[in-house]
Amino acid sequence: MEDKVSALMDGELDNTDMADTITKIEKMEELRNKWKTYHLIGDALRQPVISTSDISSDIRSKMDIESAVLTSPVSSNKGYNKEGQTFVFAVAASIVAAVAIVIWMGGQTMDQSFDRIADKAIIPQDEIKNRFAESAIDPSPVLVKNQESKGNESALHDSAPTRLNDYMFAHEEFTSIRGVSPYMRTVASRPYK
Amino acid sequence: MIRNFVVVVIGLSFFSFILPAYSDDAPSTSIRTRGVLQSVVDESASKEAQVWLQRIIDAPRKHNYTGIFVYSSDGHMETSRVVHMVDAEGVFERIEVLDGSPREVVRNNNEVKRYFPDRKTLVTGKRGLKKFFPALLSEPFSNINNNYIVKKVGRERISNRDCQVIILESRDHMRYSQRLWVDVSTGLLLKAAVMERDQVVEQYGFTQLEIDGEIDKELLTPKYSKRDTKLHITNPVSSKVVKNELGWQVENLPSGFSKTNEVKRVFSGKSTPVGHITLSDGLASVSVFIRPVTQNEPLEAHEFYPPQGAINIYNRTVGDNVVTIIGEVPPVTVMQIGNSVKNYKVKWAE
Repeated sequence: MEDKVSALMDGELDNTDMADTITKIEKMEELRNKWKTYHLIGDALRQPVISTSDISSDIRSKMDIESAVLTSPVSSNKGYNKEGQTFVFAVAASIVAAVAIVIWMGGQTMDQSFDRIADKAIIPQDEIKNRFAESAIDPSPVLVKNQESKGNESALHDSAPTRLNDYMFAHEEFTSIRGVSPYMRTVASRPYK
Repeated sequence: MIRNFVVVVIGLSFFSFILPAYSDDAPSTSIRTRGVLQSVVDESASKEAQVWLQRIIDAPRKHNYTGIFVYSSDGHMETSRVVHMVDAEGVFERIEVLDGSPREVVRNNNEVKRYFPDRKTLVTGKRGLKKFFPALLSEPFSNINNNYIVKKVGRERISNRDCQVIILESRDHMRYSQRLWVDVSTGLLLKAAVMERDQVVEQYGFTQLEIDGEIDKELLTPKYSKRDTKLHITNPVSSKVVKNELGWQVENLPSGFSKTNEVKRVFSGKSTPVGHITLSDGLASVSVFIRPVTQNEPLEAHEFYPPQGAINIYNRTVGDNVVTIIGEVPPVTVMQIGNSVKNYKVKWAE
């Protein structure tokens, strides 16, 4: 049945299977969780691959343009978070995700005010899941944040990228069939910054 | 080999045609027979495809080559130059990225140096674990048929060379499929695509290639060490193979995956060892890293990091440890593995 849920997400089911699968998802909590999880994964991963180019200025200019747009509908929608903060995410999460990525890539290139904006932009994982549950709107991309790191925003600026690079190099030894060279991916994939 | 295969196919085709005519219940027997014969033919085709896979593995140890290859994923494309030389002293290689920020990998048998000049960093690595590479590549296909349908399909031309196309079609959604283009005369892999259904996840391919030409050893010399003597050098890994000593295991392995190794690693600048368990399905590999949370290394901020091509990364906190899963498998696979990592020496309060 998990395959059906996956196929439904990919739009690969015919009408009969689709109806059947949707009915089962509605009835079975386990499948509903799968459905949410698959969306969570998909949305988290539909972000651009990390770029080594300095896109902070692009993000800044986008933030300048978008910030006014983001805030206006929030106050008029009482169904959302009182502070409107999470709705900002729901309206234009792709911007948020991009900011989050930039911060994660290495906030050292950005000034403090920008960091503060970005820190707010990162949404705790549980909150995202709740939003999935309460909204039929397909959520936009997001960098998923661990609940355990709540209150520890400095974790975003820790040595995670360095560690990931170490892990990637270590994992590389096991990549079996890169054929011509196991290092093709090393040079092709840009290191985490 | 090819001749034998043709004979087998013709022979089997003949019998599949003749047998039903002499049968009492011709239609059902015909279907059954064809089914059996088809599986024999498939098996034979798969075995031949595996011979091509073995050629891919052997070729870099037999041939010199220089060329330009292109890597692409997620709409990103990058060009690199590779120089690869084999002689009595071993295998030497240099890969240089030609687009974007400069990067370079230089391999001298088991010694690997990665240069990141824009960060003034040189990452060195000693391949002390010889059993991993290239020995790892010597028999990766023992159980490949359980997880992939291996098919030899048509011929295509890549970089002006005749290539045999091999498809490794995943049998479930827990792994990606692969499409490989193998140079007919040398066995070198000239193009490779990682596929999720009919979508390309990432792709490598030569756009220019010269095989078995003379290699000027100067071409294997690192470019950046000469220019920049102020490189910050790190040696990220010292490792020790341990056998079931880490106290961690993956309880719910995705079908077809099994543990291949267990290593304790100490990364550069870190005092606390990191556990490293490796898994494989015969083709795709997954690494499980386990590190304790310390003051200097707090909890991870994210569950998923953006993928790098076919590589997906998933984090999870287990007790006072952070488990990181890295593998060239779909996100659902790293997540399943991560969610079933348990310490069997400690009972967590859950």
